[in-house]
Amino acid sequence: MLYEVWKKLHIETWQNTSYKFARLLLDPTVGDVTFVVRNGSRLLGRLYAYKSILAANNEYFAKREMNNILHLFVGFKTPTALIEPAHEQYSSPHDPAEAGESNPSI
Amino acid sequence: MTGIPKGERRASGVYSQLAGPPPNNREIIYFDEAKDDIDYVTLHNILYFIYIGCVNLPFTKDGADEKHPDGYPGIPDAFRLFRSAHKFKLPLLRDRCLFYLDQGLTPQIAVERLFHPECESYDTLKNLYFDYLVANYDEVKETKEWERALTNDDDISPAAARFRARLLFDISKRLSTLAKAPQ
Repeated sequence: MLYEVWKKLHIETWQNTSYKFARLLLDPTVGDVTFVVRNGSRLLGRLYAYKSILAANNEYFAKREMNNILHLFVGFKTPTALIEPAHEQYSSPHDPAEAGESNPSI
Repeated sequence: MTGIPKGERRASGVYSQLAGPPPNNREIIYFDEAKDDIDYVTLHNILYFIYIGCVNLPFTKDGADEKHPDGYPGIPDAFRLFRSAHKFKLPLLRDRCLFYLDQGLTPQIAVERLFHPECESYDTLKNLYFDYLVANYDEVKETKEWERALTNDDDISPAAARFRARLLFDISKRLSTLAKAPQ
């Protein structure tokens, strides 16, 4: 009985709230970062998110101190140092423009 | 990274249908190059996973028909999702993808993915497909995918061709070892 109550509570609170929360990814009126997926000039879709949530839940999006300023890295086009090599044969790009500390736009 | 590139204006018709304009002060991240290696459904699953720890990779065949709440992401290409999970440093999602990829293996899929140039960078995946291929070689060798891999029919880069050649060598070596092993 207690388990059933807990399960109902869980579904009604955490689960439903989470889904509602995740639905915000599709809401253009919320978030402080927009992800735009395109094929050439053809738009395939947009997703909207909060940097703070991404940073709180994921190392890739986490804050990092650089030049005494806290930057929040979002998206692929960030310093490649943040991207873990796939395996030992992976070779880091030697082109300084690719491998270097290109300043993210935030 | 900031600012609206020229292409944005051209896409504005579709854009307003899909979502409407974002606020002006918002950061915009574009995924529009081949090196991004991501599509809309994959990105949606990635962000969904970061938000609430869920992705749309059904555990069973019936799971694909399961009803989900509004806004739930579509079913992604698990191989691509795996690569993105690796890139975004999401080990749990990576394992989830690996489980899914392992469940749905067939001789055709194993050959196709093992010889995919992207497979070279991921030892876990490579081992998964390699072991499956060797264990099911009798079936694998009858597939068109295997024939294509052997005859090098695909238009691939020299690096990918070297990767394929290396794989074929390793496969023949393993098969030969197995053949010599006492039954």
